[in-house]
Amino acid sequence: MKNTIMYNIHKESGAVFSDLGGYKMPLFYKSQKLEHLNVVNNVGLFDMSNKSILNLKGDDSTNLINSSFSRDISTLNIGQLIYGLFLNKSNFVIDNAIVYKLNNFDYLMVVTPSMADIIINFFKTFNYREYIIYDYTDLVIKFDLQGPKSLALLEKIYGSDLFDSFPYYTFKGDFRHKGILISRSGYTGEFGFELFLDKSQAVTLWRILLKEGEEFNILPCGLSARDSLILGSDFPLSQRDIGNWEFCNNPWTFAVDIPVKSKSSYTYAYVGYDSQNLHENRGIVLLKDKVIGEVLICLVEFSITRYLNNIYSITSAELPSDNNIEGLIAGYIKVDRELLIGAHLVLSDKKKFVEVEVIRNIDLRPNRTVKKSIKSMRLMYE
Amino acid sequence: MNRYPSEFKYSKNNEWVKKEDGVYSVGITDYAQKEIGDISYIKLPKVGDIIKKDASLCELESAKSVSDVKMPLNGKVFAINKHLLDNPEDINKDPYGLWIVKIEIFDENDYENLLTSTEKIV
Repeated sequence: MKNTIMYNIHKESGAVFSDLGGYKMPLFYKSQKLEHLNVVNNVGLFDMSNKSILNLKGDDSTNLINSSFSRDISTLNIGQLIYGLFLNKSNFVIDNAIVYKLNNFDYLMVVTPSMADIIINFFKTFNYREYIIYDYTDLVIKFDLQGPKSLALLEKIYGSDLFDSFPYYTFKGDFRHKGILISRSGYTGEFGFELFLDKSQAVTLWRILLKEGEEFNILPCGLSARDSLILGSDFPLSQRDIGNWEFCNNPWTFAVDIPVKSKSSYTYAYVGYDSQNLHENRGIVLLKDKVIGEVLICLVEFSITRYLNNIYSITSAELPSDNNIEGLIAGYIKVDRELLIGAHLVLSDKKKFVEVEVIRNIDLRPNRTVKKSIKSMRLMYE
Repeated sequence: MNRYPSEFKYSKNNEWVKKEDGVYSVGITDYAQKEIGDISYIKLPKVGDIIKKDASLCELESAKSVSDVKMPLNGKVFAINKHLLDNPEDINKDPYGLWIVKIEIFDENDYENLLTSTEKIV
């Protein structure tokens, strides 16, 4: 396992570590629940430096990505980014990726930790040669600043002009030549930014963000909180919610330009009725005592609750202020048949049985701020 | 606000179309913006997209839902309102003053067959 340049800083902050993609990364500092709620209410700072960061350049770069990417990048403008999947010929997911158009024939690709070599080797199977790939994974740090107060914090540090026009799915700047790249791609489902910079500046920026962020109640957050927050976002987690099976019949139709019709499997989001989790966070899915599939993930989404038959977030105005939110179990299942939204199922890890209902993933955490405009976020905190 | 201003024509869904100097602009009605709620995000089509009548033209996201705005006519997008990328909530404030896309249409009869203000109210 490798340490990132941030390891000692996290250790000083009391982080509990785990191996994530070959790097020792913080799972949590104080508690996953505290960090999760803080992102939804305030702002959290994630060290995502173990992500694989590749720069693809050359005359064949656009065609190379388009040969296996699920979205057409040829219409991207400079300064735009796009989420999609690298798929093999059987429509199985190799990895998900966010592709940034830095310039004509010049792209940044952010993929799952430890997937850089797999993607590079996958590209070699196509008949394109006019390109070069630079692996910045060990040279560049990625910090995710996520939560409704992230804008106020960054404006305090960088000034407000930079953020005047900053739609979702766009980015500004470049980390090459010791610069910084700031983007909005929203992995936690809440308003926020991703910061890419040379690793020589990482410790300094981390300390500045935590110091200047004190007035906004900033907390450093580990990857456990990231895993539970992702449930309330638009995105799947690679190698967990999507993986080495056919990409079809799932909530992420935006990730492909041409959805595939298949009966091989169906993936649904679900939510439970309380925060009592399975003992393991995997298991089987039962419909009237018949096994119909597997649980891809079962976690507690700490920021949601049921009230009068509806699901609300801790930030929902409709929720009574004295409502005690413990969270609800939620996640994704992969089953062998089509199900209706609202279908009732039982999940089991053979030690425990929990009742859940099928839900649209957009309804899993209402009131998300991820796509809100800069203007509306400024108004929120005026 | 006048529910269905007479200078527009309307689809059976809740889009309006305005023809001005041979250019067709598309937006959503006051009724639609109220139904959708406070719009927080818009996903626009690309310039050059050819979209069939009743297919998805764009998506509007609010706290309540993600809503598909339907293409009211067969046509090709030749302009998108980039102001809405940073200010999607302005559609709620001025649904008839803000066009979402401008399109070229393939058959003038399609436009003539849209509903008038009076027909829409009925």
